[in-house]
Amino acid sequence: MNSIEVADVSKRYRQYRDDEMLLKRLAMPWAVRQIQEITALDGLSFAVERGDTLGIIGRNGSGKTTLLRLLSGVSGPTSGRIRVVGRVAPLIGIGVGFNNELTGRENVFVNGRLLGLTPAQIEDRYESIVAFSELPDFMNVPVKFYSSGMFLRLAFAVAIHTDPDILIVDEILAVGDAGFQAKCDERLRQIRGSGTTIVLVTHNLNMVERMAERTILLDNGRALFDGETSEAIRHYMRLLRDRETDAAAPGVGMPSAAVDVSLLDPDGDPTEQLAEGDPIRVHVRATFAEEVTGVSIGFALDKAQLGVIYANGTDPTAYTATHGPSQPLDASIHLAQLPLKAGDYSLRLVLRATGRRRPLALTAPLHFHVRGRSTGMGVVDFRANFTLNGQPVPAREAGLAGADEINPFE
Amino acid sequence: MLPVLARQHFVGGYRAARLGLLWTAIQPLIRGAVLAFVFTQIVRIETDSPYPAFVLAGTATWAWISQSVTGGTTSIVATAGLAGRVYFPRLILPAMPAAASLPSFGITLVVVIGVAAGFGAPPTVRLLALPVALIAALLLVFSMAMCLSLLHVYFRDIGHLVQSGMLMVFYATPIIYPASMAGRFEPLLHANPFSGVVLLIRWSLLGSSEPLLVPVAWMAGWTLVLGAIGMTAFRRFDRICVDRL
Repeated sequence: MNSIEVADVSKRYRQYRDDEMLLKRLAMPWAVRQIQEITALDGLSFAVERGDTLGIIGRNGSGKTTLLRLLSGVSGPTSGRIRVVGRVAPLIGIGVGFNNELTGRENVFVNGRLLGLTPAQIEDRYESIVAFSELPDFMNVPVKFYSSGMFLRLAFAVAIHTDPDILIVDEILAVGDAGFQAKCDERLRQIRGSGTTIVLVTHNLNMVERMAERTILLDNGRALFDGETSEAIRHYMRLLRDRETDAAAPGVGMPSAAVDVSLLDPDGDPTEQLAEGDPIRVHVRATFAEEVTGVSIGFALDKAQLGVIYANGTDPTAYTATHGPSQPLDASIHLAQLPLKAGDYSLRLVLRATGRRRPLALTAPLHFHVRGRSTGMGVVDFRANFTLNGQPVPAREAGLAGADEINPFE
Repeated sequence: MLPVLARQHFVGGYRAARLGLLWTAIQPLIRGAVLAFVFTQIVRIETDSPYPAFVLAGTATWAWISQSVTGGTTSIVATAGLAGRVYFPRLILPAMPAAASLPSFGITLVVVIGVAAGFGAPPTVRLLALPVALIAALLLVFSMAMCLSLLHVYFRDIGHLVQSGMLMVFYATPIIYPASMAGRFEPLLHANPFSGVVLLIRWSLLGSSEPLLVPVAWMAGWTLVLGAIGMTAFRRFDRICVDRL
């Protein structure tokens, strides 16, 4: 049985440049209104079977948030039909509806009602909510005296105890410290196993990969891909790369070389996804517009928000062959193993020639995704082993949201 | 749902204030006392019930009405954070301020009854009709707030317009003077939907003998028309009004 059916749904927003004023409208009905119509969703159709977990990914502005608002019933579609069977609990904007003046206990009841529970149901779950939030001593204290961490914990505890038929999860799972995080993961797995339909709307590809069998890739309000999660992630990576290639082309001036870069998996096939620890090979093929001598090649591995994590290049004096329009360059960069932890990375290349200050070519970032479940936090996996009093002790398991959020010092 | 939100609104708003509930009940009384002084000691107004009780009943009712209408108007926009993330019938929002301030209005009314008794107008059997009067008032305020709150989502100056409008309508309502003093403007006064509310409540509290039928008929008419418009509008805009928040 389907628990969500979305049939040819479109959503258009009108954006006004200024707030509309009734007096102005009445006084100057002829005044031109600056309206911009935005199509957030464009004929989207899909269905989700009861108990399934669906991931929804896409770039900013692809329509994810709009879809989420429609699914949770906050807003309605401009055209098309949405059918949602059962009670929906949106885990969106956690803590919404909390009142600072009310005590923790009172807020549990108000928020529970807002999320669709009856007072009796809240009463039943109250103990469990308090235990989950780890705040038993603070329930009679007004929420305004809570720290932000306490506040989030309580809000999350309520939200996750609503036992809905359909759970819609936004980017909110990175709440609290590592211990609390692990509890949230555990709870989400339970919910997932209990026949609840889950829709994950997130940028966190790791989470989607671990939780969802099926993922929809949204772009410009349409489903660019709908199917197996790993396939969707591959399409997403390709999409990111294509957009940046389009954007990067002008401005650099006429490149003197055209560079084609591909990432090869251990079997030598082009890929956008690698596993932690895989050897990787970057294949580069460059064609030149004019004759150049002493070509050197460099690359940088970037991680979003962090910048360059590793860069290297060839010695410009060590390779002195001449290349021209009819002598392309085939190069490969081999990394014996990829010590990167699971996450999203990108690779850039630069091509230079001796005697030229400007690079021959700069490539657009090639995005790729590393999957894996290694323990620890950070970018590089150092494969730590622990021995306590002679007993080897395993490292802490990574959470659902990915190991990045697990910091033993927090 | 409505009681939950109203309670949260109410408790949340006044717990921080020391006098709490009492404060909201006292405010209209202070205003009434000032008016009572002015219009018995400086300017004289003839009424068929003791003037202090007459004016107190009026100002108390007005304070509740104007709070509920202005609060109801901005209710949807004011809860944008909540309404934009969780769905619940939006109809609740414009009803919330009126419902939330009902308890303190009740306390004020008790004080008014006490004052009236002190001035020689003890409650009569008509007091039994007070709940009916209150329900009629609630319906009027709610139907008005429904229309205005939706308009406010689309036209942001409605908030200011309503505020200044209520200030003017105060003087067009028989609160500090009886409707009979308005002379040839009396029919106009009666057409004011709030006149019916004030007269009905005063009739039930003080047993005044002012004409009631015409203003109450007007009030009922306003309630029906605005209620019908509001319900229709909400059916259409219930889900999409949040897109403009």
